[in-house]
Amino acid sequence: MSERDPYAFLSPATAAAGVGLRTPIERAHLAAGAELTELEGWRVAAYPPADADAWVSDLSHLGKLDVRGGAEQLDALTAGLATGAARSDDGVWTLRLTPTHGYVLAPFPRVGALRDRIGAAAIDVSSGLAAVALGGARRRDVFNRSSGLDVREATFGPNRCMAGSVMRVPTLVLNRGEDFLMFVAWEYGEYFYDAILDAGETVGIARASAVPAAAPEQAEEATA
Amino acid sequence: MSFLLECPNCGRRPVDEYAYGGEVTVRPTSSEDTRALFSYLYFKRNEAGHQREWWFHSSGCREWFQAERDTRSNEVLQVAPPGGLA
Amino acid sequence: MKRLGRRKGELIDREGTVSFSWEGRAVSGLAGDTIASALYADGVRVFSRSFKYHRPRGLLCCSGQCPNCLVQVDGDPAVRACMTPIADGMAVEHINAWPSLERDALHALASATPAFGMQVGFYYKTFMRPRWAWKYYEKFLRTAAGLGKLDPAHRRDRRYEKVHRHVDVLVIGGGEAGLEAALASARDGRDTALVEEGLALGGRLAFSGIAAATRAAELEAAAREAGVEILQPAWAGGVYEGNLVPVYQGDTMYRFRAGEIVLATGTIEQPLVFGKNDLPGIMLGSGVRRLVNQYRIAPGEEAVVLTVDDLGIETACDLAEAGIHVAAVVDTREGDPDERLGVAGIEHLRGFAPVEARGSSHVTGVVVARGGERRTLSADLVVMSGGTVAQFGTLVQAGGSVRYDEGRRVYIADHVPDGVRVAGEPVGTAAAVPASAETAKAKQFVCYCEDVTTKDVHLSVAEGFASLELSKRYTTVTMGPCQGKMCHRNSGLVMARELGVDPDEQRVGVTTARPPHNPTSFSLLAGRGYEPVKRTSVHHWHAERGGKMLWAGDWKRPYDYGDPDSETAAVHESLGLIDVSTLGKLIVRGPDAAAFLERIYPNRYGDMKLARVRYGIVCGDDGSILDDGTVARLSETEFYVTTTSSGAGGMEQWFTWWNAVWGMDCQIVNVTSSVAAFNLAGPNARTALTGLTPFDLANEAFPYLGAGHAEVAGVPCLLLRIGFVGELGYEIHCPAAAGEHLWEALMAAGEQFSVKPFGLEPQRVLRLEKAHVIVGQDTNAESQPLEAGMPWIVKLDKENDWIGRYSIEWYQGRGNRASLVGFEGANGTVPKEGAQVVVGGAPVGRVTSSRFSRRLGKAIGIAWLPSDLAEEGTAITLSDPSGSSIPARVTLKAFYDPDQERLRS
Repeated sequence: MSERDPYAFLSPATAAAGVGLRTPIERAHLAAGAELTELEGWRVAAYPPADADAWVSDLSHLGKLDVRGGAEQLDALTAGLATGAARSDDGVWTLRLTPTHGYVLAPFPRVGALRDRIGAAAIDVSSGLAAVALGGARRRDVFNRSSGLDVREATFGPNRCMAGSVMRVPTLVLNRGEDFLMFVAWEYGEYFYDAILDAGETVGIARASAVPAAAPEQAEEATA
Repeated sequence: MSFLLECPNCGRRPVDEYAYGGEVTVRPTSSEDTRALFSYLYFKRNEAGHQREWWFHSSGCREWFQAERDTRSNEVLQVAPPGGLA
Repeated sequence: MKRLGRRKGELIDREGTVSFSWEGRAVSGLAGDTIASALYADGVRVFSRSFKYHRPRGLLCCSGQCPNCLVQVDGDPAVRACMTPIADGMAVEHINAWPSLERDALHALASATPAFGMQVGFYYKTFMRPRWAWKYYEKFLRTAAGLGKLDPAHRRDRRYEKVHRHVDVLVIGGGEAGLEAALASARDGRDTALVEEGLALGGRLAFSGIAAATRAAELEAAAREAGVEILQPAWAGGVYEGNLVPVYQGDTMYRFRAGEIVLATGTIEQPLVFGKNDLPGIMLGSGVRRLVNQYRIAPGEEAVVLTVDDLGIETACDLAEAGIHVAAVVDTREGDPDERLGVAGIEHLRGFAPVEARGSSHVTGVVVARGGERRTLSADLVVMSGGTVAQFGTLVQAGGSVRYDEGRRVYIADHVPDGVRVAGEPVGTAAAVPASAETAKAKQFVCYCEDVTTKDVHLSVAEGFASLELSKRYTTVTMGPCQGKMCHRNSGLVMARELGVDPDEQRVGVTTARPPHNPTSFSLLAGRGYEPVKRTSVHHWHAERGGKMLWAGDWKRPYDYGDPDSETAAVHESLGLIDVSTLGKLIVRGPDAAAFLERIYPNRYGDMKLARVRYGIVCGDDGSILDDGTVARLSETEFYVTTTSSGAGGMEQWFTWWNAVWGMDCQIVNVTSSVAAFNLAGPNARTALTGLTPFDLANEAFPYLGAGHAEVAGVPCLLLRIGFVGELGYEIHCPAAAGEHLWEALMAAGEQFSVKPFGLEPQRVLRLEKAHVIVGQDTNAESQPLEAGMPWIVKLDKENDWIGRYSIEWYQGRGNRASLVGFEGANGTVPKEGAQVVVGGAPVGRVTSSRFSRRLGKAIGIAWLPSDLAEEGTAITLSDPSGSSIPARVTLKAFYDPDQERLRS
């Protein structure tokens, strides 16, 4: 074909500046009266701040890399992370799901450079996984209305990750300390966001903006 | 059916997170022995007891593994990555 | 009614009043009252009518075990009045009586018509003849039976929650043993939850005297202090595999997964079997003690206590203490009078058993006997203490078993499975064998739920149902709402008597209590409804422009945009655009990638050049067609595979499974979600696309079946020059996040060509014009490529082994029997899909796809038929389900552009 990146068509990172990348939840945000703002090439939702015991936020604009290889290769790439563990380092999250499969999450502008650094093992799935963060003091209460996964503090504390069924769809869950960041297939994004909102209704769940919750510094502070 | 099955990667989960992949079998290497071919294709042992089988963690890590299960009680005796059963 | 004086452990708040209604009449109770206690205090004695005979029934157990106080509350049927606290404004109604509880016409009918014949098995016997009358019988029976009436529109907007919970230890039962077990486990540092269905913790302690009530309160306080989570009132519906326990509380179902389950379900007091033992005013001792000690109600003025054990003596003492006159304690045991009764001045009749109650709508007395000696005692309250049985329902559900202990003459836990523990000593007490049927003329009820009498058990034994499990099916004993709690032991005893065996011989066996443990609404089981829906990145664009969004597998896709014919025409004449993002997409990569594909597919991929794409089918090892799609070679070691929309997940599993079996050096990555894909098709496709990309689209530079990376409208894309719609086309794959942007750019670029988005239905027509087989529509689990008209795709000369090879070799040797071919209708009539191919009046094949092609001006389709008919031009007859015959001719080539001139242009 060419010496060009064979997976360029998977990666929104190389889209031209004017494209305006959209999360799969955009229409739900517009229907809820959110304003769309520009962030790192994406159109993201801004909501007025709300004081609530649980909140949900669309962070699908995060950069995400799917990393696969041999167990030794993954050991090296994740600096020896155990299966089910995750680490945050300078705004970049590394997750080890299985001995041979992990994920790297980063601010979107850094995806290209990270992919270059990791090499062929990484595929850009920024556009393949919708990301929904569930936070607030009662986030576990909302989560338990969505999934049978065991997220008790003792079994699934901060810096843990797992894949399992949430709202009846396959989900990757990361405990960032201050919130659960959940990833589902892009095509399930809107369904998932709506379903989490519905699950949180009795708790008074609020919609939160993409920007403040997404700021990596903040996430780090919480886990520090 | 609500028994728990342990994925070698993800740990113990309800069985509805998985897809069942059938008994562990050995594939014939030619079409000469028609009887062997057809029995591989169409006849299941359907063991009432300890059975070795394939499972796919479809709601989780989406990887295959093997399990030995007592089909009478759904007790899972061991799980392992493909080919790793004791 | 005035309540009795204050007492420790009472549940009522004398300062608070609550107003509700019963049968439309205003009633007021005290805060803390249940519906049952408030109504009883108000003087209500008849709470329901029985299932079959519509006999009046009053309070019996006061602990949610029996069916007698099931009522309808604010439209909810089958609510247990004795377990439901009253609330202001609550509307409580009776069930199963007409026109009213007090005057039930059906009772008169059932008792006045001996030929009514509602003995055991009546529904198999009485209503069999004449056959034509069944529809009337049915209507009548549906009115007469049942446990309430459900209005389909009732509370549709009410929210039912389902909450998942994980705990180390779940204790079922909040009696003494349960509280102690929970306390110990919480103090051990384990996550512990306790479920109690009653309104007071402590079980029997809660209504058994001041010291006991104090002990219950202390235990509860200690458990809460230790961090035990107490769900109350809530009840465990059953125990399922993997220590799954649904717990129901209000409108919420908790799905508990527990590391360990502690069964502290205790015992249940049993009724006694004697004539008219169901009259209102005849109650269990524990029920009476609850009314007296917890709700401070005097249940009668003159009481007789019938007992087989010391619990009856305790009950009599409680009654005496509350100022109720106890005429006698009738004890089946021989011996000297009990001292406690002597102190209270109560006569203790030993060795006597009850024969028959007196009264019609309420008990007025009871006849007791000792051998030939009979005595008639008057009473407006008859208390039954028929011994207790352990509740082993949940143990058996958990996979445990019980056995009969001959020494103690009770069932005890035998096998207790791992992860389950039985707390306390729930062994129950021995029972007295009921007197024989002849001693009482009136009905002696064994089962209150289903109105089963001793006579019914007698009949079932006479008809050969010789074990309890069999008799259960016939008499329905233990099958009612109580699931045996009130009838299991007595039916076993009566059965043993009828069989002439010693009940200790255990010949009658036990029945299994089925979950749910208590009446449960379907709404609770269902919870909130979730139906995962997959939406493409352009989903809302379609919906906002009139796309008829219908389910297509897990996806919602536009069926058409209102005018399928003009959408088809646009593709043929100028330009159309369809969203095919739903296609499954896999990356197969690694040193063994090409070899892997050679083993998965019947055709070749190892010889593929870069920047090319090739059609392929995937077969099972039995040779059947599983899926189809395309494979593009991105590099020496990297391939991009597309599958059908519904096959994406299945093909990922299939590929990864064989990869696991073979252990080859390649990876399979499902990128379906990441990539949006659109097919721009029509004679103007090239011109329209050229304006959006620097990529050279000239036919020579980018011919049919080419693949290339291109930036289109600023978006990185993979272009595949393929199409299944018969015209020049480009399948454009791009990151899903840029999908809608690209789609809008393509629509804008096509505007000068009057581009139309087209949906699934126009695509069906366009594909059919090309005679493209749709896997799953034109093929089924038996279809293999040789017969499905694709022998060219099967490379039996490949040197390597591949999946399906051996079966297809066998089919090759056997020869084709059926063939998948095209057909053209001779008269423009479109046969329905599913129409039969008929030869000599016999069906020999079937139509799998059919449409009218406006472009071609005729009906076209695909059909399976015998291979000897599969020749170009063979005249066939199709028989439509409507009955009409449609003449047609077989075609073996595509109907449209058979030489692919337009496709390759």
